[in-house]
Amino acid sequence: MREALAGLTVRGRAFLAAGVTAIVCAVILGQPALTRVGVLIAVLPLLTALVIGRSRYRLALVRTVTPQLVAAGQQARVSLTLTNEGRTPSGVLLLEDQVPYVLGTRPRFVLEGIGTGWRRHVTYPVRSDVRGRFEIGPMAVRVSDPFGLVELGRTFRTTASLTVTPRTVPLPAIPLGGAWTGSGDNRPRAFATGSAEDVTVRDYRRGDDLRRVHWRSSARVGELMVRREEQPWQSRATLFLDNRLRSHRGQGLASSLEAAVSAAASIAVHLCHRGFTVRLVTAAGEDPASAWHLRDSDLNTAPLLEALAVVTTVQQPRLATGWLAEGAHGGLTVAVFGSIESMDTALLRRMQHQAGSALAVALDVDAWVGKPGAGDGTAGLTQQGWRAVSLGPHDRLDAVWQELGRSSARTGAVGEPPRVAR
Amino acid sequence: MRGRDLSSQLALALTAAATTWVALLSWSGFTAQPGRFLGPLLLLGLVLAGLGAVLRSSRVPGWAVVPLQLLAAGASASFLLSGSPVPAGPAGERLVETLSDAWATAGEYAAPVPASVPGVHPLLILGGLVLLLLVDLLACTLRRAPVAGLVLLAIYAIPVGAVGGGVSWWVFVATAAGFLTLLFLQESEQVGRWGRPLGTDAGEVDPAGFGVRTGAIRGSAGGIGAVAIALAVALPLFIPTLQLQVFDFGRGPGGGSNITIVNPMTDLRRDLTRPRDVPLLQVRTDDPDPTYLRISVLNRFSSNEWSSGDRNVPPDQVADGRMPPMVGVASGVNRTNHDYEVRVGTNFASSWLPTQAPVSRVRAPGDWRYDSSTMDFIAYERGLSTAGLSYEMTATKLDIQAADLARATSSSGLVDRLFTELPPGLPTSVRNIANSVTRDAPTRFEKAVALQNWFRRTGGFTYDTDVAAGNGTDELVAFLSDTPTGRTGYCEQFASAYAVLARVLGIPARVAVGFLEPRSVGPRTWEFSAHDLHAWPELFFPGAGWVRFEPTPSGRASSVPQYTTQEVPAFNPTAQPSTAQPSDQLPDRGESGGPSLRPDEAGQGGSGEAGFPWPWVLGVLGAVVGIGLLLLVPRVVRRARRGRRLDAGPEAAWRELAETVTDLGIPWPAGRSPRQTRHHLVEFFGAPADGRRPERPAHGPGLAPDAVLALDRIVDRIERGRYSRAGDDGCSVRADLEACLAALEAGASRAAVRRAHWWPRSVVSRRSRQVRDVDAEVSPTRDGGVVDHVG
Repeated sequence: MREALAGLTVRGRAFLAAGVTAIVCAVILGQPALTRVGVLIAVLPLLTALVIGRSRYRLALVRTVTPQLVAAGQQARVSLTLTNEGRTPSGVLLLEDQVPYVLGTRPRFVLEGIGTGWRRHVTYPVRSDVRGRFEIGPMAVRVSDPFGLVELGRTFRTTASLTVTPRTVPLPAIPLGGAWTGSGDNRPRAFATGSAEDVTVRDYRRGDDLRRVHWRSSARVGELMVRREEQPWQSRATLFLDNRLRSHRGQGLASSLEAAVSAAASIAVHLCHRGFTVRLVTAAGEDPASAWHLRDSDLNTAPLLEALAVVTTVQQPRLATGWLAEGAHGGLTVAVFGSIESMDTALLRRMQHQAGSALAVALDVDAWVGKPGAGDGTAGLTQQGWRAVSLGPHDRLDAVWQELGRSSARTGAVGEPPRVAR
Repeated sequence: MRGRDLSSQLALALTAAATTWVALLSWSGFTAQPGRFLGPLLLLGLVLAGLGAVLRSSRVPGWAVVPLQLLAAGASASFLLSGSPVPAGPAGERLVETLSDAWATAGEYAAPVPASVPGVHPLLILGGLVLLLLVDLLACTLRRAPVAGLVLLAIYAIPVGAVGGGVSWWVFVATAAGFLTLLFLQESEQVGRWGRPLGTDAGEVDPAGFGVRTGAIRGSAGGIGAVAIALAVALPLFIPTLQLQVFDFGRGPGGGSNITIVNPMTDLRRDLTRPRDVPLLQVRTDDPDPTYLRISVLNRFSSNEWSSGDRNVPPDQVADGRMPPMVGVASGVNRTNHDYEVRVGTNFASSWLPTQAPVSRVRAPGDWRYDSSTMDFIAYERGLSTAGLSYEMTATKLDIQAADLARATSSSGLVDRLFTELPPGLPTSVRNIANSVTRDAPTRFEKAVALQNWFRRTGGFTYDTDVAAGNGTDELVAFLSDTPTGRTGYCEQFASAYAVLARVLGIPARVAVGFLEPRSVGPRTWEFSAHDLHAWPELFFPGAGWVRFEPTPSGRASSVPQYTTQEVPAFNPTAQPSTAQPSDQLPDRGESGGPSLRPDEAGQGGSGEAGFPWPWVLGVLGAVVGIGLLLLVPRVVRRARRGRRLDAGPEAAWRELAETVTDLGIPWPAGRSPRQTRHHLVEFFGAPADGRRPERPAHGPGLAPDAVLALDRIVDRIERGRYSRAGDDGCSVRADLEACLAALEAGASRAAVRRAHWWPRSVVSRRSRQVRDVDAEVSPTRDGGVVDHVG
């Protein structure tokens, strides 16, 4: 009741105030006709609050989103199951699922006079052209009365998250140079005999040769362990994305950052499909979720795309260098740059130096704000030993990628392919 | 879509128009012929509502709808008033003429305006039209139904302020119901628009969605509205009683204009007993018999004295010309007018203006105001008196016939109750005298004549100014008592005693104070002096108005009104339908003015026959009935709950079972599965009894195998609903439930069943009610999702 009284709308409060005023005036002036009006107006919100406040409904909601990861422009479906576990509500229930506006219109439902045990299932599509992670829900419930005098707001708590990944385009296969062999696939390599520290062990299985038992590890673990005779080699690639604010131009969907993210996502998918284990490095450093060590070499691009889905600009002026400090040299580095400034040159050189093969897509960022011809960093990159192409707002990424392949064919001699062991 | 839009628009617009029209019914009191403006307004309202609905549903913008409506309404109004839709040329002149006539009438006549003069209905039609347009604009075009309520309030409040009377309760109820319907329609339309999915992907969304509109909300709206209106009608009955005790503002509306007046009776006695006669005022008139010049009227009789009571003198009731029509005088009564010029001497300073009664025109310098019910004139300005005043008036002499008076109907409801009010402590001896004196007179008028004869001739009264002044209850008893000192007095005692006895008989009566008979001092010139001061009673008879009687013996007042000496023909209603038009006998309600016609005062005139303590008996009876109804409430609530649950599916049936078990005093096992509960319950099943049931029947599962099977079926349905993936279809289990309930009752003792019926624990005990937390809670479910609760 108290809650319902607090939930009086402006109309309800105005009615109450006007009614009380009318009654007081009528009593003072002795106008019984006015008293009637006053009583009617004052009693109406109170009665309504009483009725609404006594409403004992209880709604249960189950929410699922499938799939939870979609590419931009693709649909996901939200399904809701609603059950009334209490009594029939005395007011009108106005339900609104709080969907971010990018995902489409907020679905709204009106429930009225639902009985006990009432159950309904509904699905609705959501779709976004903008990458990102979105929380769908919670469902807001407004309880309203037939005269619009009382309105109670209640909210469910659960939300479901939906990740919208950047758009990707399939890229043509070009010689990359980062792979161990021409096949580009992971292949088991004979384990180079080395020190004991290099030894990797696994559990003993029936049929393993006893001579392969690694006694030292077995003593430590307490179970039989055997040496692994072979070591899977990985084709490792580093995908670098410059997401500094100063490197990009434009806002929102039309910004150069979005083009860069989309290009990076396409390259990531392409590299994964070619068997590379890709880690994502941004201006802030290595993304821990997509580090090399945490992942097997498979075709699962989801963590990379998820990471790319939530990439935003960062304010820092310089690129992080922490990830370069690691001892691991070699491998393929594909970088997507925005504008390149002179202070980055040293870092670019270091990156190229550590990489077995350094490819770059440099965005002609000024073209995104309508100032073409300012030049991109391709020349500077080439000078530092990168294989680089320029990407403008109207260029097709697959064409540019093809061009990158051609430029690599032209520049030709890239040093020894990297061999990186885990 | 379009059709639904039109129908909803039409419903809204028609409700708005109908509500406004019903509210305009409260203006009926302005004119004697309310049909002349209500009929056209109904037509106009329909035109406006229909036009507005059609325009709005065809997406004409609001700024265009209003001028179009205005145009149509103006043309229709012009057609109704002048016969041509375009108010130009002769039709325009006619329209202007009609309106100016109406304006003049409105300025001249008080409400209700009689039928004989050019009516005010054109003004009312125009006003009503504007209000109809306003309500339509606010409620339909702008969708602000609550604001339209202000317009309705204005309509409703105008008669309260202008006529002074209230508005009948059914007009209020109808208006309130209409207003609430408007609110509801607008709100449900808003809700309907809220729930509709926006955008073009509406087709992709499941068309039904969750949306459920069962119309149940209409029921709750009706319930809330009905209770609110009932309270609004009932509660004010209790509020004003409180108000009258706290604020002693008197009974008239408009607290500022009431004046309590000093009693003129004391002046009367002092002047009568003055040793030397002093000429006080001169009149010049063509009236051959200018007697009974009235100064003031005493209309309130309390235990202590007759007093002039309160006067309601609004600023427009000034003695500056024509007076309102006479109260209660039939139009068929012959009347003659006599002009008077009055010159008051400087030695007669009165705050009351001496006038004839009845009077049709008074023009006096200064702010002299009159009360429409007493028609006596009081100086409204401080310091204003009659000393040295000259003024003129036109007196109307009515040719009243005894036969007409004898046929007069009951006056109840036609005059204020004040005129029949008697103090509660009036001795029974007074009532007995009144009844015994008039025992043989059949009609009210003949009773009045009999009283007059008794005072003048047969009662043995003596005129003597040498008695103590006073006219309260004690003096009255002394004056009427047949003792050596009794039945002696002067005009004050005679007039007041006569008026009291008339009131005992149920005839409205008052005491007039004035001059009795002038002395001729020249051609058509007369002089009233101090010894002419007199008091006489006036009685109200429908059809004749206030009629003078003369109870003072002939030693003082030589003549009596001629109609009191006429022979009254034997009154036989069936013998003379052709000679007497019944409508002539009834007072023309149109000509009687003011608050005296309030219908809510009808039928309450007969307070004189109070002897039996009706209020007490009624109060006790009401209390008994109220307590009885209160005792019925738990039973009614319980039955309503059961009625709702019988068809509402197995879960509701289960709850009903639980409540019935609680009512019967059987413990309901908490926290057990349905099947375990079932094993517990079947122990209490009894055999269906035929004929008289034993006080403590046997119970057990073997006694009611059918009910056990029915319970099994219910349990099965419950389990399906709760545990199976497919869920339950929610069909009714009514028959099974009824079998179980009957078996439970058959197994319970008679006292338990009685208590379950009349004082069900599930209703009256708070403990049995489930405590629910309002907060939402989250719990995992079997299918991986998360169940979220709100409620």
